[in-house]
Amino acid sequence: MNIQALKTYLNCDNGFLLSLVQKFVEELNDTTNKITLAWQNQNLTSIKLNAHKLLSSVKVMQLKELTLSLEKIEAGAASKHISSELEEDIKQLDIQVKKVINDLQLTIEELEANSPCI
Amino acid sequence: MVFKCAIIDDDPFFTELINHYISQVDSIECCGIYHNPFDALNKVNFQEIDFLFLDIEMPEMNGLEFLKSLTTLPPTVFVSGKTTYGVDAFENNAIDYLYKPVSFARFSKCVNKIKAHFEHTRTNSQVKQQNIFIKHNGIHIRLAVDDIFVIRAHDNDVTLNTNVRSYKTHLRLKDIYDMLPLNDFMQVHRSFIVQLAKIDKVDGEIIEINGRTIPVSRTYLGELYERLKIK
Repeated sequence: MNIQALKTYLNCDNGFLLSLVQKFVEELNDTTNKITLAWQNQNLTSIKLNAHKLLSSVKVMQLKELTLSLEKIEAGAASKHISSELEEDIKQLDIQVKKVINDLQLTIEELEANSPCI
Repeated sequence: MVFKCAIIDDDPFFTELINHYISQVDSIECCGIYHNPFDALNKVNFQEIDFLFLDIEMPEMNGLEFLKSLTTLPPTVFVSGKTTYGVDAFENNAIDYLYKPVSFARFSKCVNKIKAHFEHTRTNSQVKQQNIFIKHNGIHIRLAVDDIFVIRAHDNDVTLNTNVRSYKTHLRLKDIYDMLPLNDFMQVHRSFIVQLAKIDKVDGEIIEINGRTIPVSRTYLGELYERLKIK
């Protein structure tokens, strides 16, 4: 994640970016859990909606790999076909999300160190 | 002029972002954020707001269904992660269509479209008004626009001051502003609209008009100086 590029894109300071990244981590966790649960319940509509919802914030954060995975999951769920490929994509998403959250913790620490008001 | 809006989107990340963008501009004020369209149906005061930021793809009720449930279509900035709803949006009183993700630069362009939309609406609705009718003490009274020098909002009423007397009417400041000629009047404070040609003195953030002092908000100060050609 390029902090400076994001600050320019969002026209914000470190303080706001920090709060946004924290909110993003929360949403990433929450929505990924919903997608996993929806898969267990074979609820393709819920998978599609949640993948779609997460996509916009993932794009804001400029996370390309995660964007591609979510687009694949959204398209897979939209096809209304329960496939082993979709199952594998959702498993991979979970792994990717854990890695991204680890990386984002470093970003949060960096932003906290550079946010005088925090 | 400050335009009031409500944001309806099930994504808290996005609503926080748009609210942040709104806080960076002077011309838009957010009156409410709703993550559930049903909640918005019950709580949005459509008399109070000028337009909506509305997500299209939401669970249970999408943005287009939400609009169908209203009796009057409010001007709307649609937001979506898909481009496929463009035609639907512009058939439903769209001011703009924001494709997620939305950068601040794109949002700024949207703000210009919002301003242009309302200026255009006002210009079209004005038939070079020389008189307006206002309801005062239950009777509709004709007022010569040129006689009005200041309009003040207080509680749920508005008072129009003319050279002769004052008239209290039960309208919003914005409703009166929409009736007046765009080039002659200006909002200078959240509670005041003045006729520019009647201003006698400007002293920093205070103007004097017909012996009355009126505060000018910082939001409007630059535009006021520009319109009065004060260097």
